[in-house]
Amino acid sequence: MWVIQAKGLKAFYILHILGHTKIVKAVNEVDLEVLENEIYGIAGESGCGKSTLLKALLGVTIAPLRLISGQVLYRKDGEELDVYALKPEELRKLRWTFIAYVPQGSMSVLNPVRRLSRTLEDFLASHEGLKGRRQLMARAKDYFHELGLPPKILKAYPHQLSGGMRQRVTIALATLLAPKILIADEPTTALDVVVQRGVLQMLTDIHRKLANTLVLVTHDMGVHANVSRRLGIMYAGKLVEEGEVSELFTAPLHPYTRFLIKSLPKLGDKGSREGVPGMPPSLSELPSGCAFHPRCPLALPICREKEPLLSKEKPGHRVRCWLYLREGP
Amino acid sequence: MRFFKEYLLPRFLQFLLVTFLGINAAFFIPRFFSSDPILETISTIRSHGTYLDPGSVEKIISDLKQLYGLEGTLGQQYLAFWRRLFRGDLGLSFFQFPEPVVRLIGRALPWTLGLLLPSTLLSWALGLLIGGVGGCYPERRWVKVLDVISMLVRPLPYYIFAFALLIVFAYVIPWFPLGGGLSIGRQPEFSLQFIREVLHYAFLPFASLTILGTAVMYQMSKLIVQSLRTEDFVQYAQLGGVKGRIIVFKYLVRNAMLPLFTNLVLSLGQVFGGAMITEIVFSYPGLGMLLYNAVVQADYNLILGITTISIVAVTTGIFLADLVYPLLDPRVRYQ
Repeated sequence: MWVIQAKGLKAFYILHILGHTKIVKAVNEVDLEVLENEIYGIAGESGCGKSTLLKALLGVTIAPLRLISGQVLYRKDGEELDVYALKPEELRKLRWTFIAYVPQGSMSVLNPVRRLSRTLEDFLASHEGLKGRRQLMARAKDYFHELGLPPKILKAYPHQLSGGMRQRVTIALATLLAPKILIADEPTTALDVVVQRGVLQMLTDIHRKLANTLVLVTHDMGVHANVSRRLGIMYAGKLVEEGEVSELFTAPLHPYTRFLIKSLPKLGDKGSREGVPGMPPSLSELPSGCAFHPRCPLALPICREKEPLLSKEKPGHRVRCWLYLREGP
Repeated sequence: MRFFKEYLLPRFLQFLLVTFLGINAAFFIPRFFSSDPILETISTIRSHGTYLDPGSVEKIISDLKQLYGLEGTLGQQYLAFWRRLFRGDLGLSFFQFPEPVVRLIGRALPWTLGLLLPSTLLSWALGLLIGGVGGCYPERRWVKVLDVISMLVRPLPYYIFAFALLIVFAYVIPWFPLGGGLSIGRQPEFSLQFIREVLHYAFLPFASLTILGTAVMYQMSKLIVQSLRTEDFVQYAQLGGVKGRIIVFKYLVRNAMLPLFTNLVLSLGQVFGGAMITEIVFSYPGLGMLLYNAVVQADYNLILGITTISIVAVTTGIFLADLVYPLLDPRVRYQ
């Protein structure tokens, strides 16, 4: 059963520059369902709209980002909630108790002049009411202990922690209220590989303990291979392929996914890795037809003219490519 | 001990050095002027029509030289100046002879401090708070009204603003006295009536300083808060459903305080220089008025005395700010 569903989601950045209006189509007709208790990965190059998709899923559209059309639904206690129809206060209450977020670049998301314990307190008190500082502190301490974080760092200021520790603290902060959905945006970027492993371990441990849903965004296909269960590949603001990780890695359908998989290093293989030729398109000036056709070695004449639809190739495996569309246009 | 050696000591030395250089400048700059205070005094006396025979001119010159500490070479004067300074002796005022400069300053200082300390602190705190909240909710109606008011008040030259207040509230509607610190002939005493009178006389100068100061602080604080709102940690707290009140005070205003605190300390140091224009407009008997009269009457000892006091006050303020700052911003550490 799904817990988040996006239907025809379109979120564009609308910029006014010197009288010109520039529209950046960062999230363009995305349909997806994230199931209960799964780890759903989202992958794609930088600037393909991954982070914007997360913002749209969280219901955070601050100008210049605007929701153009579509719906985001949460299923909470069997009830379907339309995120963009909720009142701000209702949405505020859902945050952290139902859906929480680990931001990209957690270096700067903690208040620099407050001790971590105070920041944790702010989040706790805002959702559960102030029940006495000592009680809140005790809870935070227990939770840190549970996650294997030294409780004494609660007394530290953010700048006194290393990057990896700060990322872990941010994850702890996001999961403090046991949310049903955790959305993590590039949680391992800018960390060295040893720390990356620790952070991923922590995320999956929490996922197992809380039996919740984890939406994991990263461009690192290696991370998806190890952690995610289902994977959505994004290209130029659109979902181009989605399926089980095991299937995507062994039998990728979309030419773009194939490039991504081929670029992964393999044990024993000493050949050089090949990247995707060309550059990702600008989201404000998308190519006609399929946005990938200028870089696609298998492009057909129709790819230039018409956009393919996301079709169900096999059960649980969808792809947006003319190579697989049985019915012609 | 590391705190002492690595944080306090360098800052203390810097404080001493800056004070020393500042007082040196105050000592040397008048001596490099082409005008000679002694010859000017004599020509003033002559221009009043007094006949001076050469003998008494010689006598006046040597008396004045002694009075100004201008005897001997520049080196001797310099040493004598520092010797006197350490004894707390700033010389005698020339125009209120033989009153020592220290006593004149001591008499004017309470007026200035009583006027400027509360108005500086109040306008800082008020501007920070209102500006902080205004920066968080720029679309509210009261914020827009305050924006317009501060935009109108701030560019007004202070002397015009103060003068307008004086005309409206002391002349047209005579609620407040036209000037002075107390009614003429009133002796200081400790009574409710006396305090009420002091407050009554101080109200207009205080209001003029506070209104303008608050408007400036409001605009600065609002701008800082508005730029802070786009910081990651603020947006993240908002996204995390942290309550608005906590975000406004503990995230925005708290962080906006850091640059503005430096501002406060500097203006507190400047308090000791007096608010010359305020005190002239409202004929308030503070340091600024004293300095103004000293300049007009070329009372060099008095000018040097007031300058020295304000140099020491500003550098002390900065030194204290350095000591307090790590308490406000944990990223600055005592090391």
